[in-house]
Amino acid sequence: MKQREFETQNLARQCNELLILSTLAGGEKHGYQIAVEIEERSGGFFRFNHGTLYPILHKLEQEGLIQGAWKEERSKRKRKRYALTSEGRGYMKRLAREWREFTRRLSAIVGEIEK
Amino acid sequence: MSSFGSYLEEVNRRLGLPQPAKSRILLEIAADLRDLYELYRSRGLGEEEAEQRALEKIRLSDEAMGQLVRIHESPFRRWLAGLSGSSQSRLERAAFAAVLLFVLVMTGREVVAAPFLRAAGPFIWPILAFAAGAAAIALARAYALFVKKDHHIKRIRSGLDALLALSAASVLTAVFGLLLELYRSFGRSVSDVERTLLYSSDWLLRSSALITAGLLVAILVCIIWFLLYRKVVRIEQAEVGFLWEL
Repeated sequence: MKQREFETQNLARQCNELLILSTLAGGEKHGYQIAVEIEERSGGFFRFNHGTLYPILHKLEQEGLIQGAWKEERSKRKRKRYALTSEGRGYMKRLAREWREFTRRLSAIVGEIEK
Repeated sequence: MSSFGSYLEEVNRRLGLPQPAKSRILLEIAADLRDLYELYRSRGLGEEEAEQRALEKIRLSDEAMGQLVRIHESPFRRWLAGLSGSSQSRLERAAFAAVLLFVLVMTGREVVAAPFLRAAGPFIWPILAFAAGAAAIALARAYALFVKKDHHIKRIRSGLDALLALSAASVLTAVFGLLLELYRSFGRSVSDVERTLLYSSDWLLRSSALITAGLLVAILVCIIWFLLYRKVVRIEQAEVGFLWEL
C-alpha cells in the first residue's frame, strides 16, 4: 500500500479521515452510525453530512484502511458495516501524531499574534 | 417514503457506474435513509419532516457523486477519462471528427466500388443497409455498456434482438436474391447451348457474390451480438449474485 503523507493542502480531507478512523477504533459501525457518533462526541461541532461521508468511506475501503462487509442486523436487515484494518490503525495513529504536531505549531504562531 | 424512492432513482440515473457497483451504493444509502428517518421520528418529528430531514442529510452533492464514480470506475474507464481530459480542446475534437469522417467516406467509396459487390447485383444494397444498421446499433450498445456504463435493467438488453433480426434479414435477402436471379436465368434460357452456359455462369457469379456477402454480414453481426450478449449476461449475473448475497 502506498504510504500517505500529511499534506497541509488536504487538511479538510485528512481531518475527515481521522474523525472516521477514530470513530471506527471503538468498533465496527455503518455509515449512519459513524456520522451520528462524530456529531455527538464533538458536541455538534463536527456536523457530518452523510453525502460527503460515502466517498471518504469508499476511498478508505479501496485503500485497505477500513473493510466493509454486509452483515445482518437484529432487525433482519442487512447493513454494510465498516471496520478498521491493521493498516488503517497504523495510518490513524500516524495521522493523529501529525495533527497534534500541526495544531501545536499552529498554536505557537497564532499565540504569538494574540500576544 | 415515496421521496426516498424518487431520490434513489435520481442517484441511480446520475451515477455513471456499472449496475452492481451502483446497486451496492444505493442499498447503503437506502439503509441509512431509513435509519435516519427512524431516528428523526423517535425525536418526535412528523413523517414528512423526518423524511425531508433525512433526505437533506444524505443528499449527495455533484462533487460527492463524481468522487464515487472515480473511486469505483474501472482502470480502463479511468484511462479513457484521462484521454478525453487531455484532448478537450475544440480543435483536437474537430481534427478527430475530420479524420473519422475521412476514414468513413473513403471506406464507403471503396466498398461501393468493389467489383465483388458490383457483381452481386441490386440485392446487395439492402444487405449493406442491414450491415450499416447493425453497425450503428452495435456501436451504440457497446458505448452504453462499456464506456457510459448504462446498465439500467430496463435498457440493458435493448438492441440485441434487433441485431439478430438484421442478421437474419441479410441472409433471407441473399437467399431471396439468389432464387430470383435463378428464376430470371431460367427465363432467359435458350436453345443455344453456348448462351445458356453464359447466362448460367453469370447467375453463378452473381448469386455466389450475393450469398457470400449475406452470410458474411450475418456471421459478423452474430459474433458482435454474442460478445454484447455475454457482457449483458455477466452484468446481470453479478447483479443477481449481489442481491442473492443480501
